Amino acid sequence: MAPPTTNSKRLKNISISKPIIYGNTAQKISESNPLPEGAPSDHTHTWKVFVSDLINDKSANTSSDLASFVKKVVFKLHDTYPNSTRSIEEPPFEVNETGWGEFEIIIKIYFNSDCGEKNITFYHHLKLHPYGQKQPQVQKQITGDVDNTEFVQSILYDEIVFNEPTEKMFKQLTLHPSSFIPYDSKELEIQNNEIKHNFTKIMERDELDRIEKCLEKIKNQYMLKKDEFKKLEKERELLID
Amino acid sequence: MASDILDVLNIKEETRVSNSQPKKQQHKDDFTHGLGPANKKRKNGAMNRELYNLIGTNVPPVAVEKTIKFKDKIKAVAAVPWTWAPFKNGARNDDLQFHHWVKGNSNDIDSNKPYNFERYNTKLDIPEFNEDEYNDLLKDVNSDWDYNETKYLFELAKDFDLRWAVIFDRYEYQGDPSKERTLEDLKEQLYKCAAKILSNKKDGIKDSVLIKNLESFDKKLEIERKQYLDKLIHRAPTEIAEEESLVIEARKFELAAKKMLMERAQLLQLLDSPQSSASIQQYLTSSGLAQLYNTLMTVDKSKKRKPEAPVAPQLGPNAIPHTQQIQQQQAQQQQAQQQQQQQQQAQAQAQAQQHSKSQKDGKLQSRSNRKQKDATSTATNTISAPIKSEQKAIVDLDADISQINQPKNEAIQMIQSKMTPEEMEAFGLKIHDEKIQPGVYIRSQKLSTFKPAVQSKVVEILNEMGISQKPTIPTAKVCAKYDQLLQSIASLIDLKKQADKIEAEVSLIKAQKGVQ
Repeated sequence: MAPPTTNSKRLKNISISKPIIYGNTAQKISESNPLPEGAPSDHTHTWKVFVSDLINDKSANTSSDLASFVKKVVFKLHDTYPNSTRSIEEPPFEVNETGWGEFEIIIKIYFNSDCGEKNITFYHHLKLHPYGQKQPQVQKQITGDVDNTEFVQSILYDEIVFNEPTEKMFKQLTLHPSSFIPYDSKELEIQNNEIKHNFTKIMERDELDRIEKCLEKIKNQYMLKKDEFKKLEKERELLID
Repeated sequence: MASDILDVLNIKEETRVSNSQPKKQQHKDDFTHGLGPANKKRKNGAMNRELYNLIGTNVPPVAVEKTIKFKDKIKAVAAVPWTWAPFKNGARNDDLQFHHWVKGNSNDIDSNKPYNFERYNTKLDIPEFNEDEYNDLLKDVNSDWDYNETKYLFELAKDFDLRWAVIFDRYEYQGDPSKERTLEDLKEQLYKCAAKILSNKKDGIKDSVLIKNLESFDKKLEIERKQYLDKLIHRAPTEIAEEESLVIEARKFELAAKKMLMERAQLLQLLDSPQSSASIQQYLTSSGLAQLYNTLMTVDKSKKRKPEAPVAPQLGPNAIPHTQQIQQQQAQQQQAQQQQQQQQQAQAQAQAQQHSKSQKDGKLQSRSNRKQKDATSTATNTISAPIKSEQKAIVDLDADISQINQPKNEAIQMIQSKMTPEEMEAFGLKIHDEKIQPGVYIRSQKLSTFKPAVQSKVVEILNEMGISQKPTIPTAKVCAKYDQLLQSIASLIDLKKQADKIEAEVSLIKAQKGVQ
């Protein structure tokens, strides 16, 4: 790639995006999933909040891509937790805890000093209880295979975009292609991901279609409204004259 | 009231008194508290309860107490006797008897004690001489003087204790009337003679300082001094004023001279500092000049002196060396020629299309432009879309040309030549032309947001259409599309608002016309 001259030089008009997934998994306390030692007895769930690569196949030989440019991930839990600010400096970037209530977790990602980037902040609402049928895409409920206990997960997809990265960073990010999304659920199965998610190309295409349809609708409405507007304007002109 | 109740209850006077006593006491306590610390003190200490009981409610209206003494008593001292005592003044030659009051008993007073003020009767020690001595010593001092006159002068000096003004006044020597003695003449003669006598004293006690002082008298200087003083006292007021102003002026000059000297010293120091042998080549370019300017500015600031409204030279992206400017102009000319050719073609097409369009809605468009520019600008945009796209093509061409002139980023060229779009997607690479602030961000956080009022309506519409408020899989493509959707929803809302406004206006006009 481009010859590295200085670390701080930024490559103009280029942006690189890295897909990540973040969210939580939760499981109700039961015989098969006992309350861990030392946890308060009123806690009803064990849960895990995480930030991870889209492809997080531990058995495969690919090292964690995220770890190559992330220095640490800080999870800010609810104040009632002891040491509510959890700083994770090694992959996997995750926190295992128990609890009884849902709350907003502040997630901050700090980057390596090579990147010369500031940290980024986003939020995740901890999900312990299953959704209704409102947002089936976001969560997936697996029943049956995990000992009949309720297993809830709320995983969100997002992309970290490095706009005009430094040359060193650019080199780092382009060592191997890692930004692709699995094509469909079959490919997902092959990948044997530790964290099961369902973000695929198909899904992206579906979403694009849906938005396209809506856009079409809005445009039609817009045209109708425009005609109406023109009629009104004509009427007003006539009235004034 | 209370006594009535007691009467009703048949309680006797005695018991009543004994019962009501504490109450009264209580009441009194409160009262005395109100009077202040003096009475409180009395209550605690001096006046006992029995006495209080005797006084009853008749508290003295004025608090009687010891006050501060305003007049100090004169201390009694035993009387001292004074005596009318006789005394003699030793300063007098006659034994005249005086009397005066003396403190003390008559027995204690020592009448032989010398009079207190005798000691102040002193005489100057002026040297004496006789005729032989004069002839031996003093004859040479001044040939103008003879023994008798000198003797007369010394006598007078002795008589009047060297009060020169008196001596001069009384000097009436009956000799040669041609000899007019001035005060200075008298002084000179006396001092010189006295010095001579003293220096030739045989007993060896010589006051060298006194002799030196006597000898140092100079008649001429003395006369000059007097003349100066005379002139000084006879100055006119205008002269005095002039002199004062001159003094002030002189002081000013002095200060200015001092300042100038200081500055000269500084300048010399500067000139003395080693001259730099470095060439000025590096400062000949505009960037070098800017650098020099900056360093000088920082030096100036470090001196802690306020810079006198520094005018930064016009440097920056606009400042281009002259040769480059010429090159650019040439390039632009070439570009312009190319453009003109293309534009002519494009305009021909566009005009053809525009003609047909304008026939359709020309009237309408002109009106709407006139009245509701805000709302219809988007509308007209869509109507004249084909024209726009033509124009856009030209703009694109422009961009291409400028890109040829302006070599693109090496990395971008490399990427574009070596990678297919699919590969780029796999790397998450994207090349964009618009300026986006460098840095890292999260894709979904960069979606458009609107004013709170608009935002809530946008959310409402999204919900109506069953689209979540955030894209579920916010890839670059999805986000771009989603943003487009958001924008179109926002413009629809805007249009609706405008339409509502105009509808209201129309109904209002209708109502007004109906009334007319």
